[in-house]
Amino acid sequence: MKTVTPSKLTRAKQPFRFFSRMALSIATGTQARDLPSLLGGIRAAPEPVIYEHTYGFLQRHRFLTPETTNDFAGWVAAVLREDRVGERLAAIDATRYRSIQELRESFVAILSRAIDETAPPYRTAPEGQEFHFMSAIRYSLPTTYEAWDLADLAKALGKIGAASLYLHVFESMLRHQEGRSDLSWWAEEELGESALARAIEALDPAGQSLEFLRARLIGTVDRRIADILRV
Amino acid sequence: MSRLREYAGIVGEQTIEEIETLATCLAGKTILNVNSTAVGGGVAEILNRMVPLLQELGIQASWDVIKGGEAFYAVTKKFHNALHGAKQDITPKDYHVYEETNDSNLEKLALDSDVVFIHDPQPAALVKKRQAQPNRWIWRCHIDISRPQAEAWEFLKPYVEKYDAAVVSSPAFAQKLAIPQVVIAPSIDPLSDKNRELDHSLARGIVEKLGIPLDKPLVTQVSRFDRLKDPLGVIEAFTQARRATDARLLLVGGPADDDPEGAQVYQEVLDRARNNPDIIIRALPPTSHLDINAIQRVSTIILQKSLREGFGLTVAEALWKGKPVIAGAVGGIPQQIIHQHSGILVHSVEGAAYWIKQLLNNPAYARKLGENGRERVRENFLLTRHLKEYLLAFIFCLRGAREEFVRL
Repeated sequence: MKTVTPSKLTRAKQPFRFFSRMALSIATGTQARDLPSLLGGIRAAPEPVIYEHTYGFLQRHRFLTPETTNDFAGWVAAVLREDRVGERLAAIDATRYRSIQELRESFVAILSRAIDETAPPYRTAPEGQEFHFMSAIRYSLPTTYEAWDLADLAKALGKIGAASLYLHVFESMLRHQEGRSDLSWWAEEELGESALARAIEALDPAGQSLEFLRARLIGTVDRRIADILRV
Repeated sequence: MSRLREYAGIVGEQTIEEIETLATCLAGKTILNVNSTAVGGGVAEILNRMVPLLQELGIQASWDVIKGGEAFYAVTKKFHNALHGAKQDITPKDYHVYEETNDSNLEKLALDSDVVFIHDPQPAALVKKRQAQPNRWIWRCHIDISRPQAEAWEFLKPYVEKYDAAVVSSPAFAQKLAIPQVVIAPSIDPLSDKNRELDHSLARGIVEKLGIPLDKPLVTQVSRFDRLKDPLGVIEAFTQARRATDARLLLVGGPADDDPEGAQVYQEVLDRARNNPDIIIRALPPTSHLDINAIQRVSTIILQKSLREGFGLTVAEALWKGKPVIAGAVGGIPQQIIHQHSGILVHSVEGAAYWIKQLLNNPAYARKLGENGRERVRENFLLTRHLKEYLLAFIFCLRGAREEFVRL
């Protein structure tokens, strides 16, 4: 970590306190075997179920760069072999939605259209490869990391767990208005760093591992620190 | 026995800190584990490692074993098979023996811990004592109960529903129940003899001592000689692949002395392999953990072409060693392997043959699968994740199992 001149960096009135996210998976006992039962399950599912198969999926696969972005898309493509529907479902970027309800409606719209376009009988999952709807109990846990300025932020970003990074950069968008995350909100409101806030909001977990995104985010913060110190 | 801090180099300081912070929520709580055997089998193996780690974290964890006679274990073996889906003839006398043994253990066990954590069906009926207890009870089911024999499940289910929660290993093993079913996958211990890091030359030395030549790429399946592991299918797949590429096949498993069908399958495998010098068959003692570790590490590809599987932790063992794995898409294996990202899932002999050739001919792709597989195991199938989720499950039950979001 480079040494910086503290006086040149804006110090926040309130530090950014990092939390970690943990989740306990809960089986609902509900299954889908084809597109209509998947649609029915998504329509009826409580919000934590939609969360588990979208945000939970992205978090579980944080070291990989899977082709898909949610469990529904993966199952439709790999098990039902409905490639076109799977592709459309995979294109849904959960982190761009303001609420789980909006996210659910996108899945419902794609599946409803696919069912309308398909004449029965629908393709059925082989025995043992049904889709199992899961729920999640989410836990938020304090960590020892906090940031008062950009230097602290860059240092903490290198140390926090991937679950903490995911929570503050992506999942927290569900809690804020206008597509902001915890981190972009703090960068803008506490440090006045609008451009950095926009760069954080533009990060996309689809097709990239969280470790890659972490490196990119640290690079962005480091460059901003260098710019400030040059002035 | 490994201590928690020793895992930091593998899973990161942050994971250890998270576990320690979680454990503060349970400081001083008493957790009693109860199962039916102190040695042998996966449950005892896990408890042997888990209980000391819980104690190290300041939780008063303990472990009791129920006592039963031969008749009881004969009955619970029948239950085990029936819950796995095999047709069993369970008589009224069998149910009586089960109830009677659980009743006699009820008199000896102090089941007043904050959390009573009962493992598997054998002691499940101990829950009948909970009427007088204000504490929390969790039933941990380590077996695949996705397609149980109805009669056995109907007998067990009323007991299970007296618990506060059940823990199953896979979403596919969940049943329709009136209580929450937490999904916690099993794990491997990266510091055990079977999985710890081995110097490559040491590994080669161990394997050569077993009489296994390493002059060609080694394609290996580690599993019991059991039809459900499809050893004959593995030989057929290798034979098809071998026409286009040069390699050896190694089938290695435990002895089959106590299993008449296993001995028969072993003989069939030997017969099928007899005239092929590129196929090696080895039966090793069940304590050969270091040998298995070495074999997996020197192999070029690992197969697990199962036709049915519980969770299939041999897959996690191989992935942890950074090996490309080709495995049947059954049981818990698809939880471990994302097809073409962290391994290869196959559905047929022909599919296995195709992918053996592909991976032997594309070492860079095979290496990438192995790297992804290792990270997937690091995140999802190591003992530390298992420990963390047990802590979360205890917290979940102690808080009343009602909340969807908890700020600790």
